[in-house]
Amino acid sequence: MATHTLDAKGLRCPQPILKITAFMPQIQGGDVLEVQADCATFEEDVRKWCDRMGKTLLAVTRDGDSVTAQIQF
Amino acid sequence: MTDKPNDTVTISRAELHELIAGLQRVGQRELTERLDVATTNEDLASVQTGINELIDALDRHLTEDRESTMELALGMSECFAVLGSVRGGDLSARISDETLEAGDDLMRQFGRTLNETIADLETQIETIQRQQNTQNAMENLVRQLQTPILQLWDDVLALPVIGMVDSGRSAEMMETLLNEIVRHRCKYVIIDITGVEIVDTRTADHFIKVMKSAELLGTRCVMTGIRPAVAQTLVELGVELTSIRTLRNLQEGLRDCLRDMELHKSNTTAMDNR
Repeated sequence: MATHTLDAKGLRCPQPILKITAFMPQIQGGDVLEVQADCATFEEDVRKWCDRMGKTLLAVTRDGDSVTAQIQF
Repeated sequence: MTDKPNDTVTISRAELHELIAGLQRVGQRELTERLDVATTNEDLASVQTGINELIDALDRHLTEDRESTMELALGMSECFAVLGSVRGGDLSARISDETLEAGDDLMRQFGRTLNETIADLETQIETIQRQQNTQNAMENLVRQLQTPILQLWDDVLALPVIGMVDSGRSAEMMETLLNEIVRHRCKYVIIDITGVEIVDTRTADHFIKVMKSAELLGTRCVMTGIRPAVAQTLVELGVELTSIRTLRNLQEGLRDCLRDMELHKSNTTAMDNR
């Protein structure tokens, strides 16, 4: 089980989600993906994405404008 | 802002700054705020309303674009997930109805095509598996037919061999024969090679091994039906068959077994009577 990080800061929503999508083939089941983004609706989008994809959103943390989402595949 | 005779309008510097700030927010895609249209200056109010309408339209378009892109991202994510499952051997994976009914035409079309392709693949694999099963069944049948074991008499099994005997068939023959010997608890085995037209050293070696293995299980083995041409070849090749009992044909083989059986029985009776 590996942890991957993805920097999506500076991208407007839903570009971070597209970035996650493009990264998906590199992730194995059980891996954790940590995504950092700073667009306004990222948290809403990432929750929606996890719901649709059946992935577990482990945590969402905020540091100023920056939001970090941890997703378990 | 006031009409002048030369058809110009005048606005204050503060009003101008407010308009510029509003447009700058649009440029930065900050579309939550609207200009406050509270002036009595009709011209200024008209410009402010126009800018607000522009912000509304832009906000609407961006929201639609965002939702559409989000839908595309969700659909593409699902496609990757489905392709990953298919790659892992799960051909039941399909794009969900939610994606197939989504607003994005391209995504809908792509999802449908992907589902149809996976379904076709599933059908083709099922067909190949069916063909493979049929082929396996046929190969089993051929193997069984190649090595028919007949029970000629109580305690006597016969293995008629027809055609070429190679290593694979020899191993098959040995395994089948030994299993049948154990199953029937038989004491005699006749290997009849009337149907074998060509015997080389390797084939002869296979037969000898089969017979030796059978003898290790306590059976008495006889080989019958050696054709004259085969006998000649064996002599020319220098194949040593003295260690095995050979007879002319199956009938003689059976007679020999029965004779030995009787002899064994009378010896046992005589020993019992002592």
